Amino acid sequence: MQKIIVKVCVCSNCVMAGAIDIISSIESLKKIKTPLGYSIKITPTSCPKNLSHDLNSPVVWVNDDMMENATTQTVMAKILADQQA
Amino acid sequence: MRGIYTPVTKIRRKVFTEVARFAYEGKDFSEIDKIPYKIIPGEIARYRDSVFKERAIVGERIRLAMGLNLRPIDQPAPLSEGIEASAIDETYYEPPLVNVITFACEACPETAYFVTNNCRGCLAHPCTAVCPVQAVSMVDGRSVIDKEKCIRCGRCKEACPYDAIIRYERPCAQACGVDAIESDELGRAKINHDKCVSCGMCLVNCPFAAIADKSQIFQLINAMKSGVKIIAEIAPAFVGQLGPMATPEKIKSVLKELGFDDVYEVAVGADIGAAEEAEHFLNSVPDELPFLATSCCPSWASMAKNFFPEIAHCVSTGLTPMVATARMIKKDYPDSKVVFIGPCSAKKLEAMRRSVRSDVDFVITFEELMGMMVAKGINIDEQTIDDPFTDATAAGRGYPVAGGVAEAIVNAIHVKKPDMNVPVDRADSLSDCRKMLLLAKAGKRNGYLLEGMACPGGCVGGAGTIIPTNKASAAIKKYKDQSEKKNATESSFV
Repeated sequence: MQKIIVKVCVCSNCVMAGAIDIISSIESLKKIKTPLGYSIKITPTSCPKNLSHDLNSPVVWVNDDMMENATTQTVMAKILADQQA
Repeated sequence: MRGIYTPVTKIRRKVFTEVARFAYEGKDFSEIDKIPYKIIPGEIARYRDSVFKERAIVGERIRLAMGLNLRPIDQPAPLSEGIEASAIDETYYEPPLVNVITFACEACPETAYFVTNNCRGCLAHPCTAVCPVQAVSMVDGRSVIDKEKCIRCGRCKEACPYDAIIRYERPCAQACGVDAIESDELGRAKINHDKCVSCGMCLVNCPFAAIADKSQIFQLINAMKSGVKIIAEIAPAFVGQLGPMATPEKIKSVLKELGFDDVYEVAVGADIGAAEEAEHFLNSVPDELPFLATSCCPSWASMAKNFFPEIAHCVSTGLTPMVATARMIKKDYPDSKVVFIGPCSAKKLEAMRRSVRSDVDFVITFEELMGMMVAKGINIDEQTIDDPFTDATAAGRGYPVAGGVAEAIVNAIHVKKPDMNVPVDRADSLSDCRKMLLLAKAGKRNGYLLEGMACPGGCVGGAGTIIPTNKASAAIKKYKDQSEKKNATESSFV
């Protein structure tokens, strides 16, 4: 089964901008009874130090592609796109 | 919407961050006018019908976050009106705490039953037969409810085989457990402050971000800058709130980095409270009091006193964990100012009470704290030094999750009387608390220990929290299980 790796930055800026809610909503996919056909591994991470966070948090990496100003919606869209690719 | 990050959450938090930044930078008061442009940039409206309205609403939120009152809509006044008075280094508070920004309110209709498109106009149409006031009729092959006649009994909804009839409620009123949400002449939400107990559930449940409470971060940051010793007491609900990197071991160092001189865990005060209430229960129930109700949640305690004055004396008079801890701090640091950091908006009012005022100087929420951290660029990561709390027991640390208070008290009772059967009833959410007290008033809870919490799930569901309630409860359970001492009576402060 395809494995999708999601990393979510949990620095102060990103947590304030909803990082934990993104983690929660991706985790909640595991509870859906209809098989999704892929598995997701989600890890909280801290940001590279040189990344300015004022304007682009929260930052999420889906399979190592960085997404700025991520929302549950955009992360889900990326997961779907990667899974179909 | 709790636990889902929406534009409502985003705007609220940005306001805290920017007000904190404004306070840290100590800018000229006139600069406050620039903040709405920073939070709502560009010229295209994103959330409402116009960018001007968006900025005006953010402007009012900024005023509330600085502790100021809303401006009257029909009078000219600059955004900074009154700011000189609020730019002090001690608590600045003018009631009310919770405010409806009227022009942000969409004037959602009050509770009503409504026929949706699911209606198939069926042959049976039981909705018409069950209505006791003939408010439901079939018009052009569909069920229609006459709003004037409807008495909102809900029988049509129950009878419909297609689930086509829904009960519609304003989210603010639905979240309010004390029926404090009324309407003004334009149908907009209006808070009846005689009933309101400041739990803050309306402000986190309004989908149009029209309700906000006042904050004290502006004055707190001023106090921190003034050089006086500032000691933080952090509520046991803190675990996990600042993100997974912010383990309980790291909180103290981060708060010190932010500028607090020392940090206490309020769980210590919770231990003291649990032991005290256990004592109170053993001494007074059932001889002096028919039952004992816990005292730590200020919204619950106020609701009990407002709605059930005849049984108000059954609410424990023990010190709340916040006050017990603050008194300890004032003993250790006599000339300091104490800041309670918690999940709760009602604690802001509790700290205003005359008997508490000298002990607790400021109350801020986790969200507001995080705004300060972001404004000051403070992060928690692997490098942050561990500086664990060592004083509280598992009992005090379990207080913020529904059921935790009663559990702590019962366990403390069992130390003295191991075989005693202590019947417990508990409720989380003010509407359920009211039902519980109705039973108690009718004499059906005699001999009981009653735990009341205003927020669904307990303090972890409070208005000032950052992470979803279930995640917070799990994090607290883990921390609680790691605690060396288990029973409140084992605390060296009890």
